[in-house]
Amino acid sequence: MAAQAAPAPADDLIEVTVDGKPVKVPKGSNVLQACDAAGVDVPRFCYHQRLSIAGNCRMCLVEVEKSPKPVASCAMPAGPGMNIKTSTPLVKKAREGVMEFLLINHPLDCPICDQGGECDLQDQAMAFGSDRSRFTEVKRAVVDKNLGPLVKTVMTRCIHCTRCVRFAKEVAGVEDLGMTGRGRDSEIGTYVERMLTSELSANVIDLCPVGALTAKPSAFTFRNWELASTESVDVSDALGSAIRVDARGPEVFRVTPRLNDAINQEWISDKARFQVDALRLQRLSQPLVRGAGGGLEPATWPRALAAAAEGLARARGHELRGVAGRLADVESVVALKDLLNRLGLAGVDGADSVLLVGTDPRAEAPVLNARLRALALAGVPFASIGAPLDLTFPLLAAGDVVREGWNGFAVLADAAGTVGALDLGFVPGAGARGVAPRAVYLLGADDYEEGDVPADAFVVYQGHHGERGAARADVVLPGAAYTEKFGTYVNAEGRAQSTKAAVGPPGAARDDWKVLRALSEVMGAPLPYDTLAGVRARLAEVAPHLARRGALEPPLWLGADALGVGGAAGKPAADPLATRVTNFYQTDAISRASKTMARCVRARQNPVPGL
Amino acid sequence: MAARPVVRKALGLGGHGSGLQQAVEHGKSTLFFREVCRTLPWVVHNYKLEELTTVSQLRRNVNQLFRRFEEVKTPEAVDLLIYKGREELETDFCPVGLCSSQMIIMQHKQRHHLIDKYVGLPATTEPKPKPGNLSPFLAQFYLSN
Ligand code: SF4
Ligand code: FES
Repeated sequence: MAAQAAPAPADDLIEVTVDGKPVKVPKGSNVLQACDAAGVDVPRFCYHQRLSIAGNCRMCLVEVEKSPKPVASCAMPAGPGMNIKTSTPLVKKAREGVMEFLLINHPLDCPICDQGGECDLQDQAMAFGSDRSRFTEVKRAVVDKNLGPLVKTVMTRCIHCTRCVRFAKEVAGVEDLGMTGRGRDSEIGTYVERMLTSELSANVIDLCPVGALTAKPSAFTFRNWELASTESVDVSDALGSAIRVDARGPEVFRVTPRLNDAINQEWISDKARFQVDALRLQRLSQPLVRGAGGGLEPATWPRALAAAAEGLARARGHELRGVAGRLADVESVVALKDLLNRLGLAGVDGADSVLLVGTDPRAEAPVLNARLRALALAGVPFASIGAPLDLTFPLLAAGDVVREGWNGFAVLADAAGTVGALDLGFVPGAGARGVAPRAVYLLGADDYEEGDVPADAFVVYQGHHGERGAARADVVLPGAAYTEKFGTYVNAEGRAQSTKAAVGPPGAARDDWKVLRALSEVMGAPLPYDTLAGVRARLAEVAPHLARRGALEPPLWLGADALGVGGAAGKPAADPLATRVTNFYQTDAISRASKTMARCVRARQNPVPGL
Repeated sequence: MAARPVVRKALGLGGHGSGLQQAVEHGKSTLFFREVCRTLPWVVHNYKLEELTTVSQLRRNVNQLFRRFEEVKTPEAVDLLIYKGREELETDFCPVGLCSSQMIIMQHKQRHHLIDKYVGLPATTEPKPKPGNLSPFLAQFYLSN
């Protein structure tokens, strides 16, 4: 998706000296970037490479030869031949002075601050600050702001770096935050009390260098040094953002973005970040079998598998149907496909103009929307067909965008499992159409069409959350959620990526492909793989590009034929093209089980409390 | 909790007590079980376990842990088990009154310790898979993930 920044040609480089060491940096870099390039660490609060330069914290002061005063390195362009010094007594004194000023009004509440342990101010005060203050007056205090259910504020801690303000305006595209007042009366806030309207709002938690903006749902529940991190991939939308899953013991406590320039840069959506509380709610932790009384009763694995096998065996050929859900990983889909067969069954950046058809990227993949917005601001024309949208950037009429011979056909899938399942050819076979199934295997499918599961069919549900699918099922087999398994997901661009297990599945739940493998053996048609490596080898056979993790692959199924549209037969649809995601916060079994997401939905309906 | 055979071996015990002793020990462990049960509502509230389990579910799990040592009849071994259990719950009868290792009541145990040890127990005990007709994969599958 991203055009990576190409290395600058040699004549676009300038040479500067940092602490006596010569480095070459591209023209237009600032002094701070030159120091970074030389491997010299310069303390900073307000500078952030993806935001505009504010130059208001003054922590990045360095000495430049021939300049009478220390200069703010983030705001000073590097010039050829500049001699930059970062470890002179002048610089040390300047940093100590800035730190003393910052700490004048900063409360000493580190022991009860959620940022403690990963706070830039704490770290830099230790490294560059003086050990005492000359300030003896009364510290100021600022009223906390209510920014909605996700971002907790302790505004007395704010150091007015304005990173959050710049993020909201420049990346999220909403003018939610701003600064009021001057001098010691300045405050960051929303002017009137209202919640943040962006789907990316919680990224300000990572940006805030102090503990002024922290995560509200997980306030006071962990210290960052207690958590063990696992690098994984998000499945809350089809973008496949890079995330880090932080867990303590058997519980996932937080999800933070990981840098991936090609996909999510360093942002993630609020849903990806805060739906994790659902990983401990409403979980299926043991097999269930519908008993004589009509209710689901706990059972052991051998009994549940036997019951499932018996029910499924009643269906012959096309009477057996498999439905893969929105969160199904490719491994389990290929295992399901193989099992059914055995049972006798048959990039965006760099675009010249973009036309959005029946989609709302803001709800379906907010991080993608932020990147589209960056393109739009850079002058790429955008238009949309379908229901009217508010995308935080201007749209043109479709006629101005589409040109002769233009190939701009790209499909934005709305769920993490969709593209992978299509890549594997997990689509209804010709014979399956028109046959009412007698047995249905729901692989994490809670959003199935009522018609796919007839009332008299025998239903096996395999998944991790007890929802519509599990309630309808005759046998429930507990599987693992995306933080508990190694599963491959293909994102909307066709990039295969793998999640990693951060914690174990709860109770008697098992990895999804293992459940299918076990069931196949109980049914007398064992699948030929016993290990994850085995499944992945099989994957490579079916769809070789899925074995190339992280690489981009143009989707094979993306043709007018495969989608059954286009050509001369294409008729305009009667209803307006509209997105299927009407509620950004609740799109799948996990986000629907999340209390935090439910709170967001309620807050959205009433963004200004008390009005 | 220490595994039963290990305890017995360490103490050099045979494991057959007399009928009279059995009655006494039974009373002791029942009393201790009740004591544990009385603290459970507080534990659930204090560790915010409401979202994961209920008091009665937790009581069932603790009961299972007690029943794991059902065949232990030797008074010394029962005493030892109760001692270890009390150490887990709270210890206030340390002989010298100094080295108290009060685990749950004093919150020396963290939430995830409790989840791992007491909440995560599967409610149904899985029967031992019959060896022979199972493939190694299925045998392992029935045992754990
Ligand atoms: S709230 Fe945080 S990010 Fe925003 S200005 Fe204050 S310190 Fe900076
Ligand atoms: S980082 Fe340069 S002034 Fe803040």
